[in-house]
Amino acid sequence: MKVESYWSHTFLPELIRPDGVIFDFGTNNGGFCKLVPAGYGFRAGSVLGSKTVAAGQRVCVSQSARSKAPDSTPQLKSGKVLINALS
Amino acid sequence: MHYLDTGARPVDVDAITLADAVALAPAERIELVKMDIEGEEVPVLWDASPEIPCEDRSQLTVEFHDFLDAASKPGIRAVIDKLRGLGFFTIRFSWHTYGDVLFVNRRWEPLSLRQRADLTVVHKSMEVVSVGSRIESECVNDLTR
Repeated sequence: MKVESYWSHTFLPELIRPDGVIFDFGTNNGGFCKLVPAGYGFRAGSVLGSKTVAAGQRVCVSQSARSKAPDSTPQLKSGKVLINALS
Repeated sequence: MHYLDTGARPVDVDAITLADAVALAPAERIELVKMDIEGEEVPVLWDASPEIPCEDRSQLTVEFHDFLDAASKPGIRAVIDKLRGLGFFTIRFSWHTYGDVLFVNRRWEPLSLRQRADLTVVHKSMEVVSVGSRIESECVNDLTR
């Protein structure tokens, strides 16, 4: 069974479906959320707990999760980081 | 760009719960949750256990921060026990801390005895140390093409 590890995060990529969704809680500089989905074609959503760190994020697009109606929930796309939240 | 770099500026973001965040993909099965939230993993996972049902999470890869705060170990062990009780097979890839723990949902991914042995014996001891740099370099190459 294939095992991958990005820094201190080990996971089993073979168990992730091609159209699967990854959530990255604690994105920091976006490494996991940029690199792992890009390598496998997975879709990833990013959740960042720090406004200060979020301020320096080029990869994150700040969106208001609560202001979105259910039918306009951001659609996750491959390699894209969609939200900064959970502060 | 890092937050310490010049040019960083403050922005306002909404506070949402774990359930709110996961609800952003309401029709999806969450295949992987990566969590690295600087020591807040224990309260988040403990409090959010009803929001982490067995039905729709496949894997969680969590960096617990007992390497920064040894006093957090009892809480970490309690969370791990709780997730085991919720049906997750647990592998601690880190040797001396809980800095790299993988939870695999047995309901979605019923790993065989051989696969579990392979993970805990072969990969933990022999291979994990080498793959991190490979995936990173490959993906960086893809991004820069």
